[in-house]
Amino acid sequence: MSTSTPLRSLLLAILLAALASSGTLALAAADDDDSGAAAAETAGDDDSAAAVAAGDDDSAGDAAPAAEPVAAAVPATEICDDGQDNDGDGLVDCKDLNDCAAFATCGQIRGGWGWVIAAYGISFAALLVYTFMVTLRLRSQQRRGGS
Amino acid sequence: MKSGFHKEHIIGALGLALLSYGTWMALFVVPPMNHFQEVGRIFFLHVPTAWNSLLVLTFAFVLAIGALINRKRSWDAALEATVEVGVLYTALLLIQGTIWARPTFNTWWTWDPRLLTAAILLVAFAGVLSLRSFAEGRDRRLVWTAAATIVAYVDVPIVYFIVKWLPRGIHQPHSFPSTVSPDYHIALRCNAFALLFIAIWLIARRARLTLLRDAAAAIAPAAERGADGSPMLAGVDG
Repeated sequence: MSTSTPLRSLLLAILLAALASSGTLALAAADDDDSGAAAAETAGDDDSAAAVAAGDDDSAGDAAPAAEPVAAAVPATEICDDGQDNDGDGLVDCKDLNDCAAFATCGQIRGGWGWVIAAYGISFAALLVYTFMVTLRLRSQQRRGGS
Repeated sequence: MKSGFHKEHIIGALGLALLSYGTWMALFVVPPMNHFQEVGRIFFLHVPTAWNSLLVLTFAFVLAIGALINRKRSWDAALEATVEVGVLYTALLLIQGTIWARPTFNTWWTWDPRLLTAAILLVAFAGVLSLRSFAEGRDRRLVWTAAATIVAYVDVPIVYFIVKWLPRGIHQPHSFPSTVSPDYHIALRCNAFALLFIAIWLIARRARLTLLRDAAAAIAPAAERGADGSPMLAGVDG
């Protein structure tokens, strides 16, 4: 065991306490076998501070008790065609553009003729280029064949 | 071989005429779609391209089986040409789809089952052409191309039926005359037949090119040919 381990654990605990008191999620991991991992997560309240420092047998008893990790609230996903506000944001189905803009029957049309011209133009240009290439190679081959 | 007028030009001319008429109808005659507005006009090119892409690749599948059975050069040439045109149509299908998706669904691409299987189709048949270019010897090239085409074709019915099997994707269900307004029938059918005729024309010309190359290789001096009769690159054994 390294002699500096208790000092390092103490510094780590101070650092974690400072971070926790400012409402910041603090995570710390030990970097060698002699000291354990430490993790702390606060509930976001300025008055509450939670810090955990876990180390080897010598320092573990000095540390504050471990805080239970708080699961982040995951919003439900909006189902875009069931008539329900699944994610609770007040917007139902297609009105919930954040979640349903890409859903088949919720498309909000953006643009007009430019897309049409692009689709037809690219398609016809590709057909034209392919036809031109085949014709050119065919003629070249016919010339080479002596016909 | 003669370089004069070939009958396939009649089909090509018919295809071009139909495509001109169908495009004019689609762009300037049919009313805008209720929901998709002007962007919906892409539908009149995208849907016929999809139909013909699957049709051409189905034809390639039939040619592949035939080529494996009879081992004829003409079938192999037709198979190569058909796969090439099928790849072209499938690539156009995906490009048109992305151009459609951006203004309507606010995204160029999603991993929707129909989109994904169509992309796999393109990669699979492009792989067939790539594999063919690596194969040495006429017989081996024929067998590899035909076998790879048959394997790649497995994806075609999946592409077609996936919107029935997994209907919750971004892609809409099948388009039939019964599901489309009668106002749109003529433009759709014109473009569908136009793209079919153009495909036949391109396949005929591309197959002719392959047969001409083979004929040129057959009359080339023996020293310039490989053991199987295919032309050799200068200084490269083959």
